[in-house]
Amino acid sequence: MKRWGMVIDLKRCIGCNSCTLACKIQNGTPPGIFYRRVLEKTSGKYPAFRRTYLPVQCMHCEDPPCVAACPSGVFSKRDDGIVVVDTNKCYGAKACRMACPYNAITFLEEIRNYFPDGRTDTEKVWYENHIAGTANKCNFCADRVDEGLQPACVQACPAAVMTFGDLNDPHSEVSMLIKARDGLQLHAELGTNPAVYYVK
Amino acid sequence: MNTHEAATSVDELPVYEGNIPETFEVKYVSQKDWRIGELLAFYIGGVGAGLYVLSQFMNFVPGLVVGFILVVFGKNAAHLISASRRTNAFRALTRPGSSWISRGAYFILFFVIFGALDIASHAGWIAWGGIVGKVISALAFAFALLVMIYLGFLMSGSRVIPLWNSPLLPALFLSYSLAFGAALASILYPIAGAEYSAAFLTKLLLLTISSTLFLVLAHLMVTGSSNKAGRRSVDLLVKGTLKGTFIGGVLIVGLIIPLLITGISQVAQSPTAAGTVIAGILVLIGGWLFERAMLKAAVYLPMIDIDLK
Repeated sequence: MKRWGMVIDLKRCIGCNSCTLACKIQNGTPPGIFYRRVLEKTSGKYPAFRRTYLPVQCMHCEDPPCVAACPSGVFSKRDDGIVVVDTNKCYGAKACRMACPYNAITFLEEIRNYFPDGRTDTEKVWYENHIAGTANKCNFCADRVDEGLQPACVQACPAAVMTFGDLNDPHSEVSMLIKARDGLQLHAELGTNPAVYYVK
Repeated sequence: MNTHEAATSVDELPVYEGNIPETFEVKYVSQKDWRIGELLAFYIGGVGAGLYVLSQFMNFVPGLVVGFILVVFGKNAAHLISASRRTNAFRALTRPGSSWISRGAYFILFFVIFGALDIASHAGWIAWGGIVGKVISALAFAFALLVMIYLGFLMSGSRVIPLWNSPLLPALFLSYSLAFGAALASILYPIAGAEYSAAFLTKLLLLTISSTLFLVLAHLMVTGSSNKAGRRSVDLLVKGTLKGTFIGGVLIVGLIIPLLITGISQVAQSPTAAGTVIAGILVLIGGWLFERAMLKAAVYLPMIDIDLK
Protein backbone atom coordinates (compact mmCIF):
# COMPACT_ATOMS: atom_id res chain seq x y z
CA MET A 1 0.00 0.00 0.00
CA LYS A 2 1.31 3.43 -0.94
CA ARG A 3 1.72 6.24 1.57
CA TRP A 4 2.17 9.53 -0.23
CA GLY A 5 4.65 11.90 1.32
CA MET A 6 6.86 14.85 0.63
CA VAL A 7 10.42 15.87 1.36
CA ILE A 8 11.21 19.59 1.53
CA ASP A 9 14.82 20.62 1.06
CA LEU A 10 15.33 23.73 3.17
CA LYS A 11 18.73 24.42 1.62
CA ARG A 12 17.07 24.95 -1.73
CA CYS A 13 14.13 27.14 -0.72
CA ILE A 14 14.54 30.77 -1.77
CA GLY A 15 11.22 31.96 -0.32
CA CYS A 16 9.74 32.95 -3.68
CA ASN A 17 6.27 31.66 -2.74
CA SER A 18 5.73 30.12 -6.17
CA CYS A 19 4.30 27.10 -4.33
CA THR A 20 1.95 29.38 -2.37
CA LEU A 21 0.64 30.90 -5.58
CA ALA A 22 0.43 27.58 -7.43
CA CYS A 23 -1.62 26.23 -4.53
CA LYS A 24 -3.94 29.23 -4.58
CA ILE A 25 -4.49 28.86 -8.31
CA GLN A 26 -4.94 25.09 -8.13
CA ASN A 27 -7.50 25.34 -5.32
CA GLY A 28 -8.99 28.72 -6.28
CA THR A 29 -8.85 30.00 -2.74
CA PRO A 30 -10.31 33.40 -1.80
CA PRO A 31 -8.25 36.22 -0.24
CA GLY A 32 -6.66 35.35 3.09
CA ILE A 33 -6.93 31.59 2.58
CA PHE A 34 -3.66 29.72 2.15
CA TYR A 35 -3.42 25.94 2.19
CA ARG A 36 0.31 26.31 1.79
CA ARG A 37 2.60 29.04 3.07
CA VAL A 38 6.29 29.78 3.25
CA LEU A 39 7.09 30.84 6.80
CA GLU A 40 9.99 33.20 7.30
CA LYS A 41 12.32 33.49 10.22
CA THR A 42 14.92 36.22 10.57
CA SER A 43 17.78 35.70 12.97
CA GLY A 44 20.70 37.94 13.89
CA LYS A 45 21.10 41.68 13.27
CA TYR A 46 22.17 43.66 10.24
CA PRO A 47 24.64 43.13 8.64
CA ALA A 48 25.07 39.66 10.14
CA PHE A 49 21.56 38.39 9.78
CA ARG A 50 19.99 35.43 8.12
CA ARG A 51 16.56 34.74 6.72
CA THR A 52 15.32 31.19 6.72
CA TYR A 53 12.31 29.86 4.86
CA LEU A 54 10.05 27.05 5.92
CA PRO A 55 7.33 25.92 3.50
CA VAL A 56 4.41 24.47 5.46
CA GLN A 57 1.11 22.82 4.61
CA CYS A 58 -1.02 19.96 5.87
CA MET A 59 1.40 17.26 6.99
CA HIS A 60 -1.00 14.38 6.20
CA CYS A 61 -0.22 12.79 9.55
CA GLU A 62 -0.44 9.06 10.04
CA ASP A 63 -2.39 9.80 13.21
CA PRO A 64 -4.15 13.04 12.23
CA PRO A 65 -5.46 15.01 15.24
CA CYS A 66 -7.97 16.83 13.02
CA VAL A 67 -9.73 13.56 12.16
CA ALA A 68 -10.09 12.69 15.83
CA ALA A 69 -11.10 16.17 17.00
CA CYS A 70 -13.69 17.01 14.36
CA PRO A 71 -17.18 16.23 15.71
CA SER A 72 -18.80 16.06 12.29
CA GLY A 73 -16.49 13.83 10.24
CA VAL A 74 -15.17 16.55 7.93
CA PHE A 75 -11.70 14.99 7.74
CA SER A 76 -10.85 11.46 6.72
CA LYS A 77 -7.71 9.59 5.75
CA ARG A 78 -7.53 7.70 2.49
CA ASP A 79 -5.79 4.37 2.17
CA ASP A 80 -2.84 6.12 0.54
CA GLY A 81 -2.43 8.35 3.62
CA ILE A 82 -3.84 11.57 2.14
CA VAL A 83 -6.08 13.36 4.64
CA VAL A 84 -9.03 14.73 2.68
CA VAL A 85 -11.79 17.19 3.55
CA ASP A 86 -15.54 17.09 3.00
CA THR A 87 -16.56 20.68 3.68
CA ASN A 88 -20.25 19.85 3.25
CA LYS A 89 -20.14 18.17 6.67
CA CYS A 90 -18.60 21.17 8.46
CA TYR A 91 -20.71 23.26 10.83
CA GLY A 92 -17.94 25.47 12.17
CA ALA A 93 -16.89 23.94 15.49
CA LYS A 94 -13.25 24.79 14.64
CA ALA A 95 -11.98 21.99 16.88
CA CYS A 96 -9.71 20.96 14.01
CA ARG A 97 -7.83 24.24 14.23
CA MET A 98 -7.26 23.75 17.96
CA ALA A 99 -6.01 20.21 17.33
CA CYS A 100 -3.69 20.67 14.35
CA PRO A 101 -0.06 21.14 15.48
CA TYR A 102 0.84 22.65 12.11
CA ASN A 103 -1.70 25.46 11.83
CA ALA A 104 -2.55 23.88 8.50
CA ILE A 105 -6.31 24.17 8.60
CA THR A 106 -7.91 27.34 7.32
CA PHE A 107 -11.35 28.57 8.20
CA LEU A 108 -13.27 30.48 5.55
CA GLU A 109 -15.42 32.94 7.50
CA GLU A 110 -16.74 34.60 4.35
CA ILE A 111 -15.87 34.52 0.68
CA ARG A 112 -14.42 37.88 -0.27
CA ASN A 113 -13.26 39.13 -3.64
CA TYR A 114 -9.75 40.02 -4.69
CA PHE A 115 -10.77 43.28 -6.33
CA PRO A 116 -13.03 46.08 -5.13
CA ASP A 117 -15.09 46.16 -8.33
CA GLY A 118 -16.71 42.79 -7.79
CA ARG A 119 -16.02 39.15 -8.53
CA THR A 120 -14.11 38.37 -11.71
CA ASP A 121 -15.17 35.54 -14.03
CA THR A 122 -12.26 33.46 -12.76
CA GLU A 123 -13.30 34.00 -9.16
CA LYS A 124 -16.88 33.00 -9.99
CA VAL A 125 -15.59 29.62 -11.18
CA TRP A 126 -13.07 29.28 -8.34
CA TYR A 127 -15.51 29.95 -5.55
CA GLU A 128 -18.02 27.35 -6.69
CA ASN A 129 -15.94 24.85 -4.71
CA HIS A 130 -15.86 26.87 -1.49
CA ILE A 131 -18.48 27.13 1.24
CA ALA A 132 -18.39 30.04 3.66
CA GLY A 133 -18.20 29.02 7.32
CA THR A 134 -16.23 25.84 6.72
CA ALA A 135 -12.75 24.50 7.34
CA ASN A 136 -10.45 23.43 4.54
CA LYS A 137 -6.82 22.53 3.90
CA CYS A 138 -4.28 21.02 1.52
CA ASN A 139 -5.19 17.61 0.14
CA PHE A 140 -1.85 16.97 -1.59
CA CYS A 141 -3.75 17.80 -4.81
CA ALA A 142 -5.40 14.39 -4.52
CA ASP A 143 -7.12 14.73 -7.91
CA ARG A 144 -3.82 15.38 -9.63
CA VAL A 145 -2.09 12.60 -7.71
CA ASP A 146 -4.83 10.15 -8.70
CA GLU A 147 -4.14 11.06 -12.33
CA GLY A 148 -0.45 10.34 -11.87
CA LEU A 149 0.57 13.99 -11.64
CA GLN A 150 2.59 15.79 -8.98
CA PRO A 151 0.93 18.24 -6.56
CA ALA A 152 0.77 21.76 -8.00
CA CYS A 153 3.29 23.16 -5.50
CA VAL A 154 5.86 20.53 -6.43
CA GLN A 155 5.45 21.21 -10.11
CA ALA A 156 5.62 25.00 -9.73
CA CYS A 157 8.73 25.22 -7.54
CA PRO A 158 11.60 26.72 -9.56
CA ALA A 159 14.24 25.40 -7.16
CA ALA A 160 13.04 21.80 -6.96
CA VAL A 161 12.60 22.16 -3.20
CA MET A 162 9.91 19.49 -2.90
CA THR A 163 10.07 15.84 -3.78
CA PHE A 164 6.84 13.87 -3.76
CA GLY A 165 6.53 10.11 -3.63
CA ASP A 166 5.73 6.90 -1.81
CA LEU A 167 7.09 6.78 1.73
CA ASN A 168 6.39 3.06 1.97
CA ASP A 169 8.65 2.27 -0.97
CA PRO A 170 12.21 2.10 0.41
CA HIS A 171 13.61 2.74 -3.07
CA SER A 172 11.52 5.83 -3.82
CA GLU A 173 13.29 9.18 -4.08
CA VAL A 174 11.56 10.48 -0.94
CA SER A 175 12.58 7.47 1.14
CA MET A 176 16.18 7.69 -0.11
CA LEU A 177 16.33 11.41 0.66
CA ILE A 178 14.96 10.92 4.17
CA LYS A 179 17.46 8.15 4.83
CA ALA A 180 20.47 9.85 3.26
CA ARG A 181 19.90 13.29 4.79
CA ASP A 182 18.23 12.45 8.11
CA GLY A 183 14.80 13.80 7.29
CA LEU A 184 13.09 15.66 10.12
CA GLN A 185 9.41 15.92 10.91
CA LEU A 186 7.89 19.04 12.50
CA HIS A 187 6.68 18.40 16.04
CA ALA A 188 7.68 14.75 15.84
CA GLU A 189 7.39 14.65 19.63
CA LEU A 190 3.60 14.84 19.33
CA GLY A 191 3.46 11.39 17.75
CA THR A 192 1.40 12.36 14.71
CA ASN A 193 4.00 10.96 12.27
CA PRO A 194 3.66 13.56 9.50
CA ALA A 195 4.14 12.54 5.87
CA VAL A 196 6.08 15.74 5.18
CA TYR A 197 9.79 15.62 5.99
CA TYR A 198 12.39 18.38 5.99
CA VAL A 199 16.04 18.01 5.08
CA LYS A 200 18.74 20.57 5.79
CA MET B 1 -17.66 54.27 -11.93
CA ASN B 2 -14.70 52.00 -12.37
CA THR B 3 -12.20 53.22 -9.81
CA HIS B 4 -9.29 51.69 -11.68
CA GLU B 5 -10.00 53.74 -14.79
CA ALA B 6 -10.46 56.91 -12.78
CA ALA B 7 -7.11 56.59 -11.05
CA THR B 8 -4.25 58.48 -12.64
CA SER B 9 -1.49 57.26 -10.33
CA VAL B 10 -0.76 54.32 -8.11
CA ASP B 11 -1.42 56.41 -5.03
CA GLU B 12 -4.99 57.02 -6.16
CA LEU B 13 -5.82 53.35 -6.51
CA PRO B 14 -8.22 52.07 -3.88
CA VAL B 15 -6.47 50.11 -1.17
CA TYR B 16 -7.99 46.70 -0.64
CA GLU B 17 -8.09 46.02 3.07
CA GLY B 18 -8.10 42.26 2.72
CA ASN B 19 -6.33 39.73 4.82
CA ILE B 20 -3.36 39.32 2.50
CA PRO B 21 -0.18 39.07 4.53
CA GLU B 22 3.04 40.35 2.98
CA THR B 23 5.04 37.70 4.76
CA PHE B 24 4.36 34.73 7.00
CA GLU B 25 6.62 35.67 9.87
CA VAL B 26 7.17 32.91 12.43
CA LYS B 27 5.80 34.10 15.75
CA TYR B 28 3.73 33.14 18.76
CA VAL B 29 0.02 33.42 18.08
CA SER B 30 -3.00 32.96 20.32
CA GLN B 31 -6.09 31.14 19.22
CA LYS B 32 -8.78 33.45 17.88
CA ASP B 33 -11.32 30.91 16.68
CA TRP B 34 -13.24 30.39 19.90
CA ARG B 35 -14.66 33.75 20.88
CA ILE B 36 -17.68 35.16 22.69
CA GLY B 37 -20.13 32.50 21.46
CA GLU B 38 -18.03 29.60 22.70
CA LEU B 39 -17.17 31.49 25.90
CA LEU B 40 -20.87 32.00 26.64
CA ALA B 41 -21.63 28.35 25.92
CA PHE B 42 -18.81 27.06 28.15
CA TYR B 43 -19.65 29.45 30.99
CA ILE B 44 -23.41 29.02 30.96
CA GLY B 45 -23.01 25.24 30.67
CA GLY B 46 -20.65 25.16 33.65
CA VAL B 47 -22.88 27.34 35.79
CA GLY B 48 -26.06 25.46 34.86
CA ALA B 49 -24.65 21.96 35.32
CA GLY B 50 -22.97 22.92 38.61
CA LEU B 51 -26.20 24.38 39.93
CA TYR B 52 -28.14 21.28 38.85
CA VAL B 53 -25.77 18.87 40.57
CA LEU B 54 -25.71 20.79 43.85
CA SER B 55 -29.46 21.44 43.74
CA GLN B 56 -30.10 17.74 43.41
CA PHE B 57 -27.79 17.15 46.35
CA MET B 58 -29.64 19.83 48.37
CA ASN B 59 -33.10 18.89 47.02
CA PHE B 60 -33.55 22.51 45.82
CA VAL B 61 -36.16 22.34 43.02
CA PRO B 62 -35.85 25.98 41.78
CA GLY B 63 -32.11 25.33 41.40
CA LEU B 64 -32.81 22.18 39.39
CA VAL B 65 -35.09 24.14 37.05
CA VAL B 66 -32.73 27.11 36.59
CA GLY B 67 -29.72 24.80 36.08
CA PHE B 68 -31.64 22.75 33.53
CA ILE B 69 -32.77 25.87 31.63
CA LEU B 70 -29.24 27.28 31.60
CA VAL B 71 -27.78 24.11 30.10
CA VAL B 72 -30.56 23.19 27.72
CA PHE B 73 -31.45 26.62 26.40
CA GLY B 74 -28.53 28.90 27.34
CA LYS B 75 -25.61 26.62 26.45
CA ASN B 76 -27.20 25.17 23.35
CA ALA B 77 -28.31 28.58 22.08
CA ALA B 78 -24.78 29.93 22.52
CA HIS B 79 -23.34 26.94 20.66
CA LEU B 80 -25.81 27.45 17.83
CA ILE B 81 -25.04 31.17 17.64
CA SER B 82 -21.32 30.45 17.37
CA ALA B 83 -21.76 27.76 14.68
CA SER B 84 -21.17 29.11 11.21
CA ARG B 85 -23.56 26.62 9.55
CA ARG B 86 -26.36 25.99 12.02
CA THR B 87 -28.29 23.63 9.74
CA ASN B 88 -25.32 21.26 9.96
CA ALA B 89 -25.08 21.43 13.75
CA PHE B 90 -26.78 18.03 14.15
CA ARG B 91 -23.54 16.58 12.76
CA ALA B 92 -21.96 17.24 16.14
CA LEU B 93 -23.51 13.91 17.13
CA THR B 94 -21.75 11.86 14.48
CA ARG B 95 -18.29 11.22 15.98
CA PRO B 96 -18.59 10.28 19.66
CA GLY B 97 -15.88 7.65 19.20
CA SER B 98 -13.10 10.22 18.91
CA SER B 99 -14.36 13.79 19.34
CA TRP B 100 -14.98 15.36 22.76
CA ILE B 101 -17.32 17.91 21.18
CA SER B 102 -19.41 15.00 19.90
CA ARG B 103 -19.32 13.29 23.29
CA GLY B 104 -20.32 16.58 24.93
CA ALA B 105 -23.26 16.85 22.56
CA TYR B 106 -24.42 13.40 23.68
CA PHE B 107 -23.94 14.30 27.36
CA ILE B 108 -26.14 17.36 26.84
CA LEU B 109 -28.73 15.32 24.93
CA PHE B 110 -28.98 12.70 27.69
CA PHE B 111 -29.01 15.43 30.32
CA VAL B 112 -32.00 17.00 28.53
CA ILE B 113 -33.86 13.69 28.65
CA PHE B 114 -33.06 12.57 32.20
CA GLY B 115 -32.99 16.10 33.63
CA ALA B 116 -36.50 16.79 32.33
CA LEU B 117 -37.78 13.49 33.78
CA ASP B 118 -36.01 14.20 37.08
CA ILE B 119 -37.52 17.68 37.36
CA ALA B 120 -40.97 16.34 36.47
CA SER B 121 -40.52 13.83 39.25
CA HIS B 122 -39.37 16.44 41.79
CA ALA B 123 -42.25 18.75 40.82
CA GLY B 124 -44.73 15.91 41.33
CA TRP B 125 -45.89 15.85 37.68
CA ILE B 126 -44.80 12.25 37.27
CA ALA B 127 -44.87 9.69 40.07
CA TRP B 128 -42.13 7.14 39.42
CA GLY B 129 -41.75 4.04 41.48
CA GLY B 130 -39.00 4.25 44.10
CA ILE B 131 -36.17 2.56 42.19
CA VAL B 132 -37.04 4.08 38.78
CA GLY B 133 -37.09 7.60 40.23
CA LYS B 134 -33.73 7.03 41.88
CA VAL B 135 -32.18 5.67 38.69
CA ILE B 136 -33.45 8.67 36.68
CA SER B 137 -32.13 11.10 39.29
CA ALA B 138 -28.77 9.34 39.31
CA LEU B 139 -28.57 9.45 35.50
CA ALA B 140 -29.47 13.17 35.42
CA PHE B 141 -26.81 13.76 38.08
CA ALA B 142 -24.21 11.76 36.14
CA PHE B 143 -24.86 13.52 32.82
CA ALA B 144 -24.78 16.94 34.52
CA LEU B 145 -21.37 15.96 35.94
CA LEU B 146 -20.21 14.92 32.47
CA VAL B 147 -21.41 18.25 31.04
CA MET B 148 -19.21 19.95 33.65
CA ILE B 149 -16.14 17.84 32.92
CA TYR B 150 -16.15 17.25 29.15
CA LEU B 151 -14.94 20.77 28.39
CA GLY B 152 -11.79 20.02 30.38
CA PHE B 153 -11.15 16.88 28.33
CA LEU B 154 -11.93 18.73 25.10
CA MET B 155 -9.44 21.50 25.82
CA SER B 156 -6.78 19.31 27.40
CA GLY B 157 -6.79 17.19 24.23
CA SER B 158 -5.32 20.08 22.27
CA ARG B 159 -1.63 19.16 22.29
CA VAL B 160 -0.78 22.28 20.33
CA ILE B 161 -1.96 24.72 23.04
CA PRO B 162 0.12 24.12 26.20
CA LEU B 163 -2.21 26.25 28.37
CA TRP B 164 -4.98 23.77 27.66
CA ASN B 165 -2.95 20.60 27.28
CA SER B 166 -2.97 19.76 30.98
CA PRO B 167 -4.39 16.77 32.85
CA LEU B 168 -5.51 19.20 35.56
CA LEU B 169 -8.05 20.88 33.30
CA PRO B 170 -10.97 18.44 33.75
CA ALA B 171 -10.58 18.67 37.55
CA LEU B 172 -10.30 22.44 37.32
CA PHE B 173 -13.48 22.79 35.27
CA LEU B 174 -15.29 20.40 37.60
CA SER B 175 -14.19 22.41 40.63
CA TYR B 176 -15.12 25.72 39.00
CA SER B 177 -18.54 24.38 37.97
CA LEU B 178 -19.25 23.25 41.53
CA ALA B 179 -18.17 26.70 42.79
CA PHE B 180 -20.50 28.28 40.21
CA GLY B 181 -23.31 26.01 41.39
CA ALA B 182 -22.75 26.92 45.03
CA ALA B 183 -22.50 30.61 44.08
CA LEU B 184 -25.72 30.67 42.09
CA ALA B 185 -27.53 28.60 44.71
CA SER B 186 -26.49 31.21 47.31
CA ILE B 187 -28.16 33.88 45.19
CA LEU B 188 -31.24 31.82 44.24
CA TYR B 189 -32.17 30.61 47.73
CA PRO B 190 -33.15 34.08 49.05
CA ILE B 191 -34.86 34.94 45.74
CA ALA B 192 -36.88 31.70 45.78
CA GLY B 193 -37.77 32.29 49.42
CA ALA B 194 -36.81 28.72 50.25
CA GLU B 195 -35.52 27.68 53.64
CA TYR B 196 -31.84 26.97 53.68
CA SER B 197 -28.79 26.88 55.86
CA ALA B 198 -26.36 29.76 55.34
CA ALA B 199 -23.81 27.74 57.33
CA PHE B 200 -24.01 24.85 54.87
CA LEU B 201 -23.73 27.11 51.83
CA THR B 202 -20.78 28.91 53.42
CA LYS B 203 -19.01 25.58 53.92
CA LEU B 204 -19.83 24.55 50.35
CA LEU B 205 -18.50 27.82 48.94
CA LEU B 206 -15.39 27.63 51.11
CA LEU B 207 -14.66 24.10 49.94
CA THR B 208 -15.24 24.72 46.21
CA ILE B 209 -13.44 28.09 46.14
CA SER B 210 -10.43 26.62 47.99
CA SER B 211 -10.14 23.68 45.62
CA THR B 212 -10.58 25.95 42.60
CA LEU B 213 -7.90 28.38 43.80
CA PHE B 214 -5.51 25.49 44.45
CA LEU B 215 -6.16 24.01 40.99
CA VAL B 216 -5.84 27.37 39.19
CA LEU B 217 -2.44 27.99 40.82
CA ALA B 218 -1.31 24.41 40.19
CA HIS B 219 -2.40 24.70 36.56
CA LEU B 220 -0.39 27.91 36.16
CA MET B 221 2.70 26.24 37.63
CA VAL B 222 2.36 23.17 35.42
CA THR B 223 1.80 25.27 32.28
CA GLY B 224 4.63 27.65 33.13
CA SER B 225 7.08 24.79 33.37
CA SER B 226 5.93 23.03 30.17
CA ASN B 227 7.56 24.83 27.22
CA LYS B 228 8.08 28.26 25.69
CA ALA B 229 4.51 28.61 24.44
CA GLY B 230 3.21 27.59 27.86
CA ARG B 231 5.44 30.17 29.54
CA ARG B 232 4.19 32.72 27.04
CA SER B 233 0.59 31.97 28.05
CA VAL B 234 1.44 32.29 31.74
CA ASP B 235 3.32 35.53 31.05
CA LEU B 236 0.25 36.90 29.28
CA LEU B 237 -1.84 36.06 32.34
CA VAL B 238 0.45 37.32 35.09
CA LYS B 239 2.58 39.99 33.40
CA GLY B 240 1.05 40.80 30.03
CA THR B 241 -2.13 42.20 28.60
CA LEU B 242 -4.35 39.89 30.65
CA LYS B 243 -2.68 40.72 33.97
CA GLY B 244 -5.53 42.91 35.20
CA THR B 245 -8.16 40.39 34.19
CA PHE B 246 -6.36 37.43 35.65
CA ILE B 247 -4.71 38.68 38.81
CA GLY B 248 -7.28 41.35 39.63
CA GLY B 249 -10.43 39.72 38.32
CA VAL B 250 -9.89 35.96 38.51
CA LEU B 251 -7.62 35.59 41.52
CA ILE B 252 -8.39 38.55 43.80
CA VAL B 253 -12.02 39.41 43.05
CA GLY B 254 -13.17 35.95 41.96
CA LEU B 255 -11.38 33.68 44.41
CA ILE B 256 -9.38 35.33 47.21
CA ILE B 257 -12.01 37.85 48.40
CA PRO B 258 -14.85 35.25 48.37
CA LEU B 259 -12.49 32.87 50.16
CA LEU B 260 -11.83 35.49 52.84
CA ILE B 261 -15.55 36.28 53.20
CA THR B 262 -16.55 32.65 53.60
CA GLY B 263 -13.43 31.74 55.60
CA ILE B 264 -13.93 34.52 58.15
CA SER B 265 -17.65 33.66 58.42
CA GLN B 266 -16.74 30.05 59.04
CA VAL B 267 -14.05 30.77 61.60
CA ALA B 268 -16.22 33.34 63.40
CA GLN B 269 -19.15 30.88 63.36
CA SER B 270 -21.36 33.64 61.97
CA PRO B 271 -22.35 32.70 58.41
CA THR B 272 -24.84 35.12 56.90
CA ALA B 273 -27.02 35.10 53.80
CA ALA B 274 -25.52 38.45 52.72
CA GLY B 275 -22.01 37.02 52.97
CA THR B 276 -22.83 34.02 50.79
CA VAL B 277 -24.65 36.19 48.22
CA ILE B 278 -21.70 38.60 47.90
CA ALA B 279 -19.21 35.73 47.71
CA GLY B 280 -21.43 34.02 45.13
CA ILE B 281 -21.63 37.09 42.89
CA LEU B 282 -17.85 37.53 43.03
CA VAL B 283 -17.24 33.86 42.17
CA LEU B 284 -19.54 34.11 39.15
CA ILE B 285 -17.76 37.24 37.91
CA GLY B 286 -14.34 35.71 38.50
CA GLY B 287 -15.33 32.50 36.73
CA TRP B 288 -16.43 34.37 33.62
CA LEU B 289 -13.11 36.23 33.58
CA PHE B 290 -11.21 32.96 34.10
CA GLU B 291 -12.82 31.25 31.11
CA ARG B 292 -12.31 34.39 29.01
CA ALA B 293 -8.64 34.47 30.00
CA MET B 294 -8.26 30.76 29.16
CA LEU B 295 -9.45 31.44 25.62
CA LYS B 296 -7.47 34.65 25.15
CA ALA B 297 -4.15 33.39 26.52
CA ALA B 298 -4.20 30.14 24.53
CA VAL B 299 -0.88 30.44 22.68
CA TYR B 300 -0.12 27.86 20.01
CA LEU B 301 3.14 25.94 19.93
CA PRO B 302 5.28 27.71 17.34
CA MET B 303 5.59 25.86 14.07
CA ILE B 304 9.34 25.66 14.13
CA ASP B 305 10.60 23.23 16.69
CA ILE B 306 13.64 22.19 14.73
CA ASP B 307 16.83 24.22 14.72
CA LEU B 308 16.90 25.91 11.36
CA LYS B 309 20.08 27.93 11.89
